Amino acid sequence: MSGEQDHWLRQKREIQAYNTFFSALSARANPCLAAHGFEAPVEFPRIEGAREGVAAHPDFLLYDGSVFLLVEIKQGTNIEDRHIEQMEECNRVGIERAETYLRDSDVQEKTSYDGNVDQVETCIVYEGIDEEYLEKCRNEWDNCREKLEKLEEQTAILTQGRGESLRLLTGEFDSTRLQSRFESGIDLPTNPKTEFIVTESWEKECLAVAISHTWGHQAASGPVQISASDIRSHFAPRHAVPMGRIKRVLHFLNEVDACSEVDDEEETHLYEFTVDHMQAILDIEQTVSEQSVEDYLMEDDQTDLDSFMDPDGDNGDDDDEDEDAANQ
Amino acid sequence: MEIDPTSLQGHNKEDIISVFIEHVVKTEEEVEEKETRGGKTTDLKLYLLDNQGFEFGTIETTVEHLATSDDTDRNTKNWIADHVVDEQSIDDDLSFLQISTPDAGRTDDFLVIRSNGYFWILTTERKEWCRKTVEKLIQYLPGVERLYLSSDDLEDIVEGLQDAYVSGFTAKYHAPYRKRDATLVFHGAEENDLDKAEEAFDATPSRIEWDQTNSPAAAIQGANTNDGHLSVENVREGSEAKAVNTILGLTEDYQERDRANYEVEHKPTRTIFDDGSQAIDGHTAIELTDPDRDDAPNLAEELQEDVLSGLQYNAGMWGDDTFFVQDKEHEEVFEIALEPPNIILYARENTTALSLRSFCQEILDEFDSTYSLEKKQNMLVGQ
Repeated sequence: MSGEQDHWLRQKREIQAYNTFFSALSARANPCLAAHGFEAPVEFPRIEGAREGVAAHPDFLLYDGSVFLLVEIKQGTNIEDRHIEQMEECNRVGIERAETYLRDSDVQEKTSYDGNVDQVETCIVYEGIDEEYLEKCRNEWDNCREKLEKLEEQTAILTQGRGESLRLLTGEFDSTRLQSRFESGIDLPTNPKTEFIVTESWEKECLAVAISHTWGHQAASGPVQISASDIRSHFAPRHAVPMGRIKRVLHFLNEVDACSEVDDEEETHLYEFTVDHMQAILDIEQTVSEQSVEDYLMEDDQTDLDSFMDPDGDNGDDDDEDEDAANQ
Repeated sequence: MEIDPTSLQGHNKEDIISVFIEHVVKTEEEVEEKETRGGKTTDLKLYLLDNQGFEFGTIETTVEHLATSDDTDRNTKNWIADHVVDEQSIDDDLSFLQISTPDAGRTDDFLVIRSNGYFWILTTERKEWCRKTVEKLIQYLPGVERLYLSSDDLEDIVEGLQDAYVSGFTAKYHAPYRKRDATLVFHGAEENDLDKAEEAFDATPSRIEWDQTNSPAAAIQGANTNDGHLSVENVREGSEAKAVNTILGLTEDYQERDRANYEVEHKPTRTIFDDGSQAIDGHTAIELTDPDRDDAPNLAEELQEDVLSGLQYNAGMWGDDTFFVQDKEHEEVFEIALEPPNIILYARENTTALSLRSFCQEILDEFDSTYSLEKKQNMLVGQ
């Protein structure tokens, strides 16, 4: 759409890539992965690796009672070193760790299988890289071939797109079932459900939309109160979103009338979403696509003398005062 | 209504319908006298209602609450001010509902039956008074909606009636890119007239009249509409039991198809685990596909102008092909994904059949009658 600024477009593509992949499990896909016995017991899991303190953070985990498939989703037209590292971490998850993970009581509830794992498989799915890209990467571009080969050694490489198919590009699965399933491909819907609002680095725009969807939509049936620390613990520790950023985004949502700050003496940064905010809540994607959160607040500050006295001092651009940056 | 409701206490729905059937039974002579359908005879009417969390037996208290609540809209308040609603409980699954219209000096009587999670409202009151009283009340009650079938489903259930044939219908055609709207009303229709109407005009039925025989003469005459209403006009003496079975069979068909089309059976319930990872339980989508046009480049604008700008909705856009919609009447949010010319609805966490059905009805009744409807659903986690 016109007027959509790059700052948001990039985040939106990343968000859409998660949703495109997830649609392969839905009944709108053909054939749908769930119909082939795959369940998605957990999204954005954190699975302990073989070494203490080193964990795999795939985006999706699929399981069919035998195969434990870790899936990493990428958007864009670059194979990065970090992708190779991430897949290495996923590959360090052994059968024993996989079974331990599945037998955790929370996870166990979300699967109808007994937690037995015969094979741990991994794959990386690119939205933006296709057969033509691989051809050029192998034969024409400097430095590309080497990375591609390293990645191929680690994992199966898939491509996907809205209204296209999810299919194997190169690399191999050990499981012949997976290999043939993804070789023949899965047709995906043209416009998948917006199930997840998430990016790896949780920019303020993405966070504003995620908060609006998670708590704002609930206000359709009655007011919802939420504090900055509630939001943080909702996402953490898998998604370590800095507290300063959450407060800043809540301030922004308050400014665009998507919620209102509740007067509270304890300064817990408590906000309320009600039906009166619904139009701004529903429009939030348009709002952040037109202007970044910081640009909006900066303009707003210039016209609003009261905010000159910023009691929390959290109006800086770089507000990641928290210890843990996004841990992916 | 000439039925003493207290005499129905403890009776099952078969018995209750039998009692109502007695009121539309005609002798051979009466049937012969009455050559054409219609006219001012008493017929039995049955409204089929979905119910999402409305507590049975609380109509009167709900109306009292609506009368004083700040959230109630003006139309509802005006209607309540002009009517008196009285509900008496007969037994756990049956209540007697009276709606008085003091200005007209009349009271209309209804029986409300609870049946497998659905509410049925039975009456023999006249059509025009039902419209002014109980049909309005149903609209105003929260958590309660009349069932709604697509034209295909309506046709299917009439076709499924044993020994019956279509004897009349109302069929409509409207689509946004054509200037013409058409409504065909046929009484005394012959076999294939409905097919011809569909072929020639792309018209789809919203009401079908049928005659059911009972070796060999026409014995039962009834009509079904796609908005959860069925009526029986005539039952020939001796065919009462068949009529009861027919009605019960039709209610099952309505409920089953409505549930198949709109019920969110696999809710996308989200669980957030302690470590911040999450699980989504299910997926439910309703696809409105294959309308009478190949492309719809302005579908978003058309929907916004023709449907979403109504009082019932608030909508915001995500990109240029997705809407997030608040249904204010049903207090829910759902997602609309455009795949022009197709329209896909996605259930979100708090979406129920109420908002999905209501939107589909709006599309098929008002926007484009030529869409086909199919629900796609599955579980994403283990069950």
